Amino acid sequence: MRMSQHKISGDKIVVTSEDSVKEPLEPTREHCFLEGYRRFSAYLGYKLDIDIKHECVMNPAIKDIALLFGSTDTVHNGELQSLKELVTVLSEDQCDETLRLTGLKVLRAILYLQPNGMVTSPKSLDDEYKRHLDNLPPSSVGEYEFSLLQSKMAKLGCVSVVIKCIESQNQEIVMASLQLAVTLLEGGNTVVQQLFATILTTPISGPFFLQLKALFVDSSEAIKAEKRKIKFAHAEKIVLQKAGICHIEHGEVGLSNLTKGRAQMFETIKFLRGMCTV
Amino acid sequence: MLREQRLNHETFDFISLVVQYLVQLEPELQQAFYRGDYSLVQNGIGAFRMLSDTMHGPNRDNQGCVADTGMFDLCDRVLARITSETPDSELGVGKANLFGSDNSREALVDRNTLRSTLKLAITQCLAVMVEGRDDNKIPKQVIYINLCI
Repeated sequence: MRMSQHKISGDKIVVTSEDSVKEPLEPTREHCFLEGYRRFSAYLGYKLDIDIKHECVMNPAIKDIALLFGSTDTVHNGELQSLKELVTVLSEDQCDETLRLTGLKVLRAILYLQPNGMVTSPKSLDDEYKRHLDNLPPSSVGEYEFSLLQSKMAKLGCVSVVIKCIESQNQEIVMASLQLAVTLLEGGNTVVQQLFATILTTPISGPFFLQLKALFVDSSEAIKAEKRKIKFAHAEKIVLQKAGICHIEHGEVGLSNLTKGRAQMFETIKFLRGMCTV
Repeated sequence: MLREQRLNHETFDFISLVVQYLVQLEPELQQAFYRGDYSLVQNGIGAFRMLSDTMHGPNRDNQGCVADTGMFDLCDRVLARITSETPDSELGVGKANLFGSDNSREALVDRNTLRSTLKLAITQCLAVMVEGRDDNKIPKQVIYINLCI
């Protein structure tokens, strides 16, 4: 149909060969594999009833591993020698980051689940593990058995693991190390405090303190950035309201980005507090 | 150890760093309640409690260190600015509306409870600062804050 019939005037459009429509690019093998793997993971997660979010995917496995390594009934673990082996592996320089992260979570889960303790019913174990995931203190804080387990884990080398792992560049590992340190010190365990003090008063603690200082600096920068964002969003909202334009929600300004940094700072302060609490 | 790492090449004063962190946090605290940004407030409460524990004993060196970092001015500002909301408080409702926060009675009670927790942490911190002191320097400054409140 001619455009002039619709009273559209103007020059005729001349389509040259250069204006031809480009065919969409063929997806690469890598792209196809990643897409297929994502779909496979989602399907498997649905079928096995597993949360496939990055941070949650290992949670059920971590609970099982913690029960395995923390129990003296496990084969070749009568004196917790397998657990000591795990702690030694985590302290090594060449330790893989994924293994280190999982290992730190396992060590913390052992403190919550107390596989050799009195709490053995599946429901109470589930409740305790939920406290671990929600970052709440263990329900048995202050009990004699719990402080004994804290001291035993610290003496097995968990204190060295914490000091080693906090120096990592991976923020998830730093966070897991801080959480483990807080759980080890929960309730003001003087034996664990003494073990930390013994290592931290030697010159090898330099990188550890340097990393703690870096956390404070990062947190200060984050607060400054947050202030700027909030001021900008607030000013934008007022201008839009004055102009009679309905405010468009952009979500919680700056909060989601800063949650991790704040959580890290929260754990750092809790750790420092744990070192002084009697 | 938190104040000075004697055997290390580089030494950091973490007590002063925590106070500096609180000084940076302080201007945001008041609005944080209305924004529903409670994690910020929890960080503040945790920091004040941490400072209390470092001075507890009493640890005279840590008391002196905290007293020299502008802690009294900080406590004074927080205690003066953070005030409880009442259901018919126009200022509170206005601010809550401005930040789009929850105006229900339950939310208001939650906010006030958190405010009280923060103030309690500050007063405990001030109380520990004068623990076992037989000189006038620190107690005088604490008394001055109490008179201001």
